Amino acid sequence: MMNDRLKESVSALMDDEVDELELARLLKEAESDPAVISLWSRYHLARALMKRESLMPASERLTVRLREALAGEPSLAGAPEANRWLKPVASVAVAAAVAVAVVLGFQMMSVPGNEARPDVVVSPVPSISRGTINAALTDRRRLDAYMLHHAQHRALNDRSSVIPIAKVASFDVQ
Amino acid sequence: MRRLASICVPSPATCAAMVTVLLGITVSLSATAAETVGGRNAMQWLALMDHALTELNYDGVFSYVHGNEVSSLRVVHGMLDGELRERLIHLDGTPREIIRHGDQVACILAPGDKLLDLEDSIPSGPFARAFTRYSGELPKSYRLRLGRMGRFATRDAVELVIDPIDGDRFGYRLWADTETGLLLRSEMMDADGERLETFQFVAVEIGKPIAREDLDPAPGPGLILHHLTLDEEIASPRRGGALWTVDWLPEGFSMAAWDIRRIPSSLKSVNTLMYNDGLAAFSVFIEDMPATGATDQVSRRGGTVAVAHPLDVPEDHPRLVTVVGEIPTGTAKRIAASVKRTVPR
Repeated sequence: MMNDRLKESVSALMDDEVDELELARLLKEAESDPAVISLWSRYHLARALMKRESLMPASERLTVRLREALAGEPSLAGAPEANRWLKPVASVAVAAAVAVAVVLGFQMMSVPGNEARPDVVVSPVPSISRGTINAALTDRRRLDAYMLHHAQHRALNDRSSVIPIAKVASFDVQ
Repeated sequence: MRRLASICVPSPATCAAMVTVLLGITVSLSATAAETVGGRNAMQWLALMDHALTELNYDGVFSYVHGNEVSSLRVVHGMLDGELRERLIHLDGTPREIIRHGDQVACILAPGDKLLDLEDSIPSGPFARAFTRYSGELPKSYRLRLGRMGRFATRDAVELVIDPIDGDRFGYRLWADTETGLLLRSEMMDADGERLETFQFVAVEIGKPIAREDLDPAPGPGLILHHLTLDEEIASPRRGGALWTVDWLPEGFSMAAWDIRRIPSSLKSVNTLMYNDGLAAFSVFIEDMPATGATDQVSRRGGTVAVAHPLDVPEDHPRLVTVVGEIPTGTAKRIAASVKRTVPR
């Protein structure tokens, strides 16, 4: 079971505020306790909601930060394999913090039954290319799309009823 | 009033407008509405219902029937840290959650949710604020009276009957919990008395403290977070007026906002006009005629209709008009056919 200290550590890791000792402990815990990963994932989702964060997939952002932190260390830069991060705790604190994050991120990918999926993908408001449905949009699809738009608009503007928002949640796409 | 004010971001005026939107329905209090249940008349019940929906804590499961579809959802609603929080969980079919955090709404979707593909083909960006329009004036498009008593989710309820004054909008039956005023069931019906949509709590707990965990989304692998936001800039209606308008507008409706947006996947721009009568709303979308062409089309999902109509524009290229709203099909068609430019090119 996760204790409060561990919760604090995960929270501190989110803010890049862990020391090397804590890092090592977290790494160890993460290996044996899936709750650490789930907590990390929950914190991320909660933070993304709170901050209206919507720019880069969490895992991608971490990879970028990792690359920055490790610039000039070619032996590490090109090899983002999960296992390699588990053994040597990096010497530079900031690089290590990112490394742990990446390990957690990668481990999340191997949660049973969900291989090869990133944990939380935060999509930007103008969604980037998710399949191309441009001109070939059928009439039916266009009507559906506008119905969804109308429903979302109502859900945002009508705060005194759950019905508009229920329409969005239950919007059925053929 | 302090709590209510805290959830209304911009101003007390908006806040008042929000309440008015709901109360707007009540409009003409006919003679029969003088009857009371539990010491309240129909208007007072409606006000209580409005208050209950935003201010009370509740956690329940409801059915939402629209057309031939039935969905089950759980709603957790409450005030946390002085902010209105709501979490809606889609219990069957595609896993989805919608989180309301004050003014912000985020959809949490599973990978492969087809909603995301649809998102690509509609105008992107923040949505227009459209609820500020009705402050001060009450639309006279509905009549309100008390109906029969009922029982839903083990709770006694009083029925509020909202009848439209004409055939250009639908009627509503609302059941309020006699103890707290919370909406327990609602029906939308057409002129023939046919039920188009039904919302009904199956089970609900009212007034108990809501745990933070119950308001936070459940994490899961591969979740996609999609924010819906309101644009502070797109006020209602914009200065300068819209480029398009409708020549025929059903009585009681007025423009709440208008907007020009791009569709991310095609970079085509879409003019959007939004109208509201205090209860029902419709949107008009105007875009260039697709290269593949388009014909008149009608699609209905429960109480919502979508009508597409090709529009010839004098001395200009043709457009495609789409009207979507909780209005009768004939009304939507008539609106679509009446779209015209306000400024000659």
